[in-house]
Amino acid sequence: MAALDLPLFGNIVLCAILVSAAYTFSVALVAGRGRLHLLPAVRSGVYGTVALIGLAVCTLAYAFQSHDFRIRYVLRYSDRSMEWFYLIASLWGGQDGSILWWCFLVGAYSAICAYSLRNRLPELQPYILATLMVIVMFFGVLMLWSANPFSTVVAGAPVEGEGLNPLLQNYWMMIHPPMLYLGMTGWSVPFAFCVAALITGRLDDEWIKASRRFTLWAFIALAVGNILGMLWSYEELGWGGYWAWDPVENAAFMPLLAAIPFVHSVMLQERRGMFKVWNVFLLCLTFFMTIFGTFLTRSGMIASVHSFARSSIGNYFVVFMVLLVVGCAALIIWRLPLLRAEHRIDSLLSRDFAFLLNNWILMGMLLFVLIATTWPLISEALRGTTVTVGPGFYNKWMVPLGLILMALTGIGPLLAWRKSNKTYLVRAMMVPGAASLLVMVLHVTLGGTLGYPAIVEGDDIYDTMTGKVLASIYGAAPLLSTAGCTFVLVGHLQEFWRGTRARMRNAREGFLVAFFELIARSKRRYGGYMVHLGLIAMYFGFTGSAYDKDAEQALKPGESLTVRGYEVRYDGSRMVLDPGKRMVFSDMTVLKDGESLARISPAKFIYEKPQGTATTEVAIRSTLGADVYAIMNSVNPETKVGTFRVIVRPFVAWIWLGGLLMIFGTAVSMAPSVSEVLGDVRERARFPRLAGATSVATIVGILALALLLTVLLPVLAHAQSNSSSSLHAGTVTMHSAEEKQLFARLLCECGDCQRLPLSSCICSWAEDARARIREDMAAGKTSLQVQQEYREEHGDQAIAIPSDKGMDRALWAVPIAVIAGAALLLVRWGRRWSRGADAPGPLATAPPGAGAAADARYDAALERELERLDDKG
Amino acid sequence: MSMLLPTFFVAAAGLCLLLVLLALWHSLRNVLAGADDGRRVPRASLSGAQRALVHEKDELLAAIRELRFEHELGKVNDADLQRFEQRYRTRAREVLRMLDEQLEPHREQARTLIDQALASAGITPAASAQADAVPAVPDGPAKNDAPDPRAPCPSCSASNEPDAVFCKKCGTRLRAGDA
Repeated sequence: MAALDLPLFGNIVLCAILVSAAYTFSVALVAGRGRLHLLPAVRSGVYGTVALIGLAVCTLAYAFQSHDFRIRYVLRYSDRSMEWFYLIASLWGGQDGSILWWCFLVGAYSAICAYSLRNRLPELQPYILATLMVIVMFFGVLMLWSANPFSTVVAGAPVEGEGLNPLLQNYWMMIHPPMLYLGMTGWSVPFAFCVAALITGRLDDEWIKASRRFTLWAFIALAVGNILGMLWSYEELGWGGYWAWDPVENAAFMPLLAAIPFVHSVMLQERRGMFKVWNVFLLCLTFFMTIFGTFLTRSGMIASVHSFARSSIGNYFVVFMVLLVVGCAALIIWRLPLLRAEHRIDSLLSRDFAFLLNNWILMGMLLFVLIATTWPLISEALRGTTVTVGPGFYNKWMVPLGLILMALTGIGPLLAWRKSNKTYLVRAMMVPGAASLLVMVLHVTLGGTLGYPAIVEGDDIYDTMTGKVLASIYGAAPLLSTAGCTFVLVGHLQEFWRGTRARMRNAREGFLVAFFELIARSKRRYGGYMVHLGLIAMYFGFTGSAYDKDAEQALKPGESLTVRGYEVRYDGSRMVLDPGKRMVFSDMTVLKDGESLARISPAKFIYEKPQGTATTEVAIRSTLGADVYAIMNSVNPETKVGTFRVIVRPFVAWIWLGGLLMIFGTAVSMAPSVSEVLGDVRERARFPRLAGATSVATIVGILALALLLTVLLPVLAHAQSNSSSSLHAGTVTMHSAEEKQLFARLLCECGDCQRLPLSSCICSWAEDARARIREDMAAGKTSLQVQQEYREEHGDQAIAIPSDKGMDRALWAVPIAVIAGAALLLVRWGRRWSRGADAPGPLATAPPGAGAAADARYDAALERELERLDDKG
Repeated sequence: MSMLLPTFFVAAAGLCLLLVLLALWHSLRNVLAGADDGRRVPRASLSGAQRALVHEKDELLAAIRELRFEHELGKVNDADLQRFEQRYRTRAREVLRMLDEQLEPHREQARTLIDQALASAGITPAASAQADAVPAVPDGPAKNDAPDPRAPCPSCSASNEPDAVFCKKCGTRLRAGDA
């Protein structure tokens, strides 16, 4: 390969990808027009296209490993000193390579889809594979004309490369982007199934069933990708948080907000044949959001610390998105007669209606995040004013929406499909209700003493009634959240218990077998419950952020600072040299009540290249109760005096635990049934149930024990000698919580930094601004007054929360109005649909002449089928 | 590792190239071979409409099963169980009837073919099928109307095959002395 002109070879391969995808697409279309004997040719075309993309990836990977700096992408994102794993990570470290990687994943999914289909769904197969090839072609066009990973440098190959951004040189680069891309690209397959169903008119549930596992996989990969991003931000970026509502973060979150309603409401279609149009729309929306999210991050249209530089790639995305919208709309309108179904809800107290409410609130959250994320663009387009929408805005508004979602998560599983027995429902809510009430009482009475008050101080983000209402909800959120988490937890455990008890009674099985059989026979239901429990664990973790405490102090060796009962003692500092950097570690001991709990070592890394670049390495001691998070600001090499910031964050570990539980729950939902594995029903009957239950229980028990040990034993995350972190320029001393909240909203206008908030920018302009603001507050001005004056002096773009006046009010008013209006419509429609519930439907009575004998015969056949269904599980 | 990786990627690229050539050759051969190259694509045994009916039947059965389960849990009262199950059953009967109507011509054809095969083997054709034969379910073996001598389990009352030795639900031995 050394003698080969690698860039030329790479470009030839890119061209070949486009040609191969186009060829496969064409053959697929011909096959779909009734020449199904061409299906093997289509599948082979898919495999060939994927192999070509693999070839391109291997070529680029070789170029990195052999330091071929003729290629601009290799020059830009690597150097000779990088370790091999960072050279691999560089494949997706920049725009061009990440497009190739995206194309590769779509190709891989296409190949898996083609293989899994083989001789199934011959009518749908051509259009499924054709749709996937269209997506591959789009990325092929992008690579050839806008983001070519094999383009060469003009002036000849330099001796050394520029190196990967130190921010990206950590092990998370190997994990987070691939996982997130797996989730984003995974939605291509269910989307392709949907398009094929629309084109062929086969709009029964066949395509939904066939794509179910792909859907669940894409869902959990996307969720895990988001969680890994949170974990990366928390462990490596050194600002103490895990989610900043950055546009790029939102770009990955929005497809999830569209996917969750789809995963739920598709069950309505399967059971009741309803909402076919809505489900098709949801799936198209989910796929569109993955493309839109990619567009946001790559076009550079919205400023973000994560995003790529502004480029022409955005134009290609716009064209593709327009084609997507027009194409999907045309297909849906064309097939509307086939999609339309009579909507009938038997009762508002039903799981059916609860699923509709679930869709309502999640769509509302999606609308909210979408408008807020694109508000800077909207504002600039409509009135020429740049505004910033920072995390303070989202944190306030998403709390009430999240609480509504939590309430629905708690009530939904208690309801029955079609119509719930009111007596049962009241009884079912008693235990969870009592438990949550007890927790509320305990929280109110004991919370303050334990350091977790039920009501916290919520600052106003607006000087209007809206601001006060939001502040009140935010203040009560810890109480409502812990009560809600308790309700959901107890309610779900009750569902498991009642189901197991029913089996023990009716099937006369022991507890273990009954529990195993319960889950095995209703994997979707109980796997879904496990996912809910994971979500609630995450909610509990989020609640802990209301109790964060931090302190910043200069310490001499031997001195300590105390935060929330944790004493952190500074023992000394040391320097370690590396070929590429100097690493200054500070050794600290975490103590509680005089007892040593752990040793942690926050650090600063000073890089040779780019010269003088310094990054911050945090150190974390993590337990289920709280994380002790230490940041080293600076250390004087002569006096050894160090400045440290220590944050104690309660319950953060529950977020990661919740993520693991969500993975487990989804895996249960996706698991094949025993009959799918063993085949014949008779074999299924001989499967020793007790042995099976015991085996599964043993495996799950071991995993749970390992997990428990992992979370109960303190986990130490500290400076990696070969990684880097730190997004922000540094940390700033805050004198009070109010000051911290205010400075987080005011942005630095020095013109040099990336408009960081005053709470983290350490430039002299920011220092002066902070001093002036402190004087104003000491003179008696409120935070809102200071904020207003800052806005008047520097403009709307200097505040991370748009005002509650004029057009800026639309930022929250439009989504809230839509949410409220949709709620009213839903209740109205629900009542209308349920009014016709008692009337016999069009096929509720048998046609004349059927005969009682025939009915009896069919009933007997149905009973046998039901029995066989029970045997299959 | 850093010395091995370039070689690894060269080898992987070679493998990809080989796969490309094989796949595209196979694809082109299939396209150029014409309508029939001796390997016909297996056609679905059911038409689209029949498949849709089968799916609907499966969904109705799943719905009945879920309804009964929720009734066991107490979420659905007796009156609603009866009402909703009746609705599902009525529709399910209609679906089975439609399936029967669509499959009947094929059944006749199958009977004729069987008779011809038996006649050519010198075997007297069996008596014609009972007038009120139970409709065959497309994904299951045909059942007839004769009383099915299934063995209920003495322990859990589950219905078992007549020749079952152990109960398929609880494992209780049904027949003493069998292997």
